[in-house]
Amino acid sequence: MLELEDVVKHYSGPGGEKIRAVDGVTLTLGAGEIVALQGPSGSGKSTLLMLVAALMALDAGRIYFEGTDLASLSSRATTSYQREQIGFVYQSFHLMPGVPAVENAAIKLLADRVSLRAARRAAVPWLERVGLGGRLDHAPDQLSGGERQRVAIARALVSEPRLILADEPTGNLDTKRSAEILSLLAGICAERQASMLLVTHDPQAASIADRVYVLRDGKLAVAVPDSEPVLTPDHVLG
Amino acid sequence: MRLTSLFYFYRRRLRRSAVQELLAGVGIAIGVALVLAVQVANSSITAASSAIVRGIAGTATLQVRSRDSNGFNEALLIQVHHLPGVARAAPILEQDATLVGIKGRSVAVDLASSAPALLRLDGDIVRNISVHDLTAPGVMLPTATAAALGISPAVFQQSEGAAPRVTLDIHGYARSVPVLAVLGPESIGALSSAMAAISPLWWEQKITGRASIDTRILVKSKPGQQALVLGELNRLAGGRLNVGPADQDVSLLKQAVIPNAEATGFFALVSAIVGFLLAFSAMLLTVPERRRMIADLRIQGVGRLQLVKMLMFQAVCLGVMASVVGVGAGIVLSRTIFHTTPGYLASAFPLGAQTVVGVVPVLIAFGGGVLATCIAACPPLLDLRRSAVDAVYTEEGEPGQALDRHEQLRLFAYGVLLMAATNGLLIFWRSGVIVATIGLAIGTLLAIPLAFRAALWLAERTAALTPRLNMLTVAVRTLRRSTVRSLALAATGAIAVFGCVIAEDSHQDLLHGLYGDYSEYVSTSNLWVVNNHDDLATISFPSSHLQTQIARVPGVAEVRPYQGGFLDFDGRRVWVLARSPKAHGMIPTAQVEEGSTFDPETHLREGGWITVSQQVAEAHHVIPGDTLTLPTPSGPVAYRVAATTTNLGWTSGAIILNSSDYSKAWGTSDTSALEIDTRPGANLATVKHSVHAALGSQDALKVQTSNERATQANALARQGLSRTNQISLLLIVAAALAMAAAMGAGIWQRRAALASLRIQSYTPWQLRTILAYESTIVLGTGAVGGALAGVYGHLLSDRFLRLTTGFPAPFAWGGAQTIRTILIILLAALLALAGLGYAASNVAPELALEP
Repeated sequence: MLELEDVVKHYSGPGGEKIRAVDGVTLTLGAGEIVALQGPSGSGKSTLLMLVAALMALDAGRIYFEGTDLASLSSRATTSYQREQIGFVYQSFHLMPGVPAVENAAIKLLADRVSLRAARRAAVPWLERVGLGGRLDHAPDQLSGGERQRVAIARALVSEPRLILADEPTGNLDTKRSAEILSLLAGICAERQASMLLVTHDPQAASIADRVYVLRDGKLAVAVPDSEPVLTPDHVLG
Repeated sequence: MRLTSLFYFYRRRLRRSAVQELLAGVGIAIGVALVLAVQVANSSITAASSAIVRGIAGTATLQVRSRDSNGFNEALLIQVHHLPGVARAAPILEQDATLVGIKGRSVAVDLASSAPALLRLDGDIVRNISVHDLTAPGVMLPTATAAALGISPAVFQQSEGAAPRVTLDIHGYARSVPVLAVLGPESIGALSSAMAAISPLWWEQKITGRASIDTRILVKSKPGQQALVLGELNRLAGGRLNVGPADQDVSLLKQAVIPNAEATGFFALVSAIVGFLLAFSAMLLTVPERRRMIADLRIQGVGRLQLVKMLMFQAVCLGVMASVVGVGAGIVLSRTIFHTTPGYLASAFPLGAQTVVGVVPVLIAFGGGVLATCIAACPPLLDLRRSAVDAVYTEEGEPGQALDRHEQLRLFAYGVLLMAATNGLLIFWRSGVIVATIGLAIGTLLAIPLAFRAALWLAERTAALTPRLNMLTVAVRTLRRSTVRSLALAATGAIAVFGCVIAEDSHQDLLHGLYGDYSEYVSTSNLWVVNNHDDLATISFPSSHLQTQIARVPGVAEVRPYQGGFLDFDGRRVWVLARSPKAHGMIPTAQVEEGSTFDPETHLREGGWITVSQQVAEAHHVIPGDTLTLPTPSGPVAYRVAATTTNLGWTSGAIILNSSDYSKAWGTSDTSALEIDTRPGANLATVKHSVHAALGSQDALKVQTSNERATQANALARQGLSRTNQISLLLIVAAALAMAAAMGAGIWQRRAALASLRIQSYTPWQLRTILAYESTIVLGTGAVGGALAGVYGHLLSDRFLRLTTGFPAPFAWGGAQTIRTILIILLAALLALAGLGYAASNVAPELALEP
């Protein structure tokens, strides 16, 4: 479903030096598969997600979704890819304050000229699915941290994407809530045969991932439990 | 809390919220700069004039002055010398003239001459003038006058070569005269910036045909004998001459500039209100953040008093910095843009052009700026009343942004009550317009939250009509979640439009009023013959022979004398207009305030009746039908008041009477203009040309059509009102910038939220659409609210200008003008925003991923 071939992304550092945020990453992700990416802060995990979401241009390499090179997509097709195929969940929720949960979940559909009424209707099952059927009209400040993340998950899923990109979805939650959210995401992926690329520091993430990688200094390696990652070509999938 | 801690917190705040702090500072600085610049510009007119008058008078403390330009016989000087208690006396002859220099450049000047006796009065200005200077035939020019005529002081440094010559136009005759010297500030101080010419008395008397005539005698009394001398001078004057302090011109000028100062002062006040409220709105942007900071510190155990100290310290720091910048900008404005003095005053007063920055205006502007900042910083302190220290975090929406419906309604009710109360004052207190305007401005601010709620409701209903307007739906939700920020932005727009509509529309009303007045005034004849540069027709010339000559010109139906001048009347230098009883109109009818029942036209033609400006009538407690005694050159003459009028554009007021009464009381048949009617079918241009040819040796006179004269008057009015025009223009620029800055800061604060929408697959174009909708709703609400309040404020402003200053300022709702003002502000703000909005819409999506 998703193939990354020798993907490279550079940044310029404060002193003008080149920082290789993503440095030759090769990776594949099959339908319904969950892959976890771990690594220290600044190792390039979030950048990799942005590249997969086509929200950032590559410096080198290729990313294929369903066999189509993302770089070859027109601007309209890229938007369509982001809107229909991708669901993004991130640590700081970014829900609109003072706006009911159901409208927050429906916000993505509004970008696609779906009427507000229809968008709300479409969001309701997803909120029910994440356990917030009784809190549709609650504003974010009336919800707990875990509930807010559930709204964010419903928002990511409302367009029924085939690929979920999750950036530290449990970063702001306690252990119990983290487990709930991870379990929820895993369940949804299984139900809908959706794939998920999960960036996390959370050791629990391994429990739901089919594979776990470590990204360090932009390079990808297979995580070896209870030991340092080993960077050998054999460990690199793809 | 220690001073170092206060500084620490403020440094932290500056680092975190530099843009908001800068924005608030700009608002305050604008208000301070405008108030200071107008104060300095207004006070500089009289300060510079005072320096000239006192610099000439020196140790003289009294003067005897002619009541018209015809003067008195110089034999009076000998009588004055012989009065008991008189130490010294010096004669002066002053006449209005025009000098024509290189390449036809011409300038109206006060031609002043004296004798060496003046030097013995030891005035600052004449200290460096020698006896030779006051005896040699020719004129000496101040540097400003020489520059206007194109004469360089360098000409006089060449040892060889003839002195340059200029043409002196006086009483209709042109004479070539030598320029003996150009005098700079090192020689004649403040006089160097005036439009004047200095010459020996004997020479001016000879060359202008005023043999043995003086217009003024400066008198120095012996120590302790001033009262005695004053009494003796009054006895000698016999009610036909004015006797008073030597610097009487200064107090007359001060009186003359009051209405102008009040008008510009009112405009400056509007600017100050706008500046303060812009700063207040800018400070509102920081309220949520300050409220959260207060809550955080209270949780940490910081006491209420300490928090008050901290916030006030920050406000004082901001106020001081902004006010210092404002004072600097104000001084620059007063020395550059507001530097020009109203030209119309030059026809009646010795004016300098120096800018004098006094301590008092600086202190007022500076103190006002600091105080305004402290008041604007107060709203977050309202949280200190609450017992729940973290209440800000439990409110709906973004922490600190809440303003619920009840609060909005309450604010609206307060606003309406405030407007009703302050405007109700006008019923009992006619001059309470300033209070009413302030009440209106604050009331508008308080009404904005409810208006904004209504605008959001309307936008939401509109957005529901079609999914094509989904971005409007998102914009509405974005605005709703950040109520205080949105309201601060809408309030900024409202106040900006409010101030600009008042300033611009009132300025236009003043212009229309003055132009309408003058157009009607000059439309009574087809052609006018006047002295060059004599905009008000106050400089006389002999014309009995001329009238006969012109009457013979083919195409001329009738020639009528017009007389006029200035009369010092109980502390005012009023404009006197005397028209022939045969004139088609004696009074500009639109300028009549009271007295239409008396048929003033008929009474004026009959004689023995006058019209006076409303403020002159009020000062003397007379109404139409009462008797008013004027101090004419022939002595006191009683007239009945036929009507009261506006000030006809002359700030000290005006008096109209018929020319027969004028000739009798002023003892002269000299005219200051001739009104000419052409025969039906006659070609105006041809007749004009023929009339000019008939002027003969008085060819320094000018022939103008009534349209040309009205246009010239319009230009004079525009120049006289240039300061109000400059203020309203500056206000528009400042308002547009303040709005753009406020909106820009608001948009910049929201980049993380915009990045989040980018991740939710919103395109940059969609983000731009959302920002455009947001800006339109915010600016639109502000603009409509501000415009409605501004139209009413415009009405109040016109009332102020008419009643307090006496200017003709008929209220006319300039719909197109108001819309134009709003559009200029909105377009300027949107243009300024376009770049920032574009940058914000292209925000890097990863910004949303930062925890």
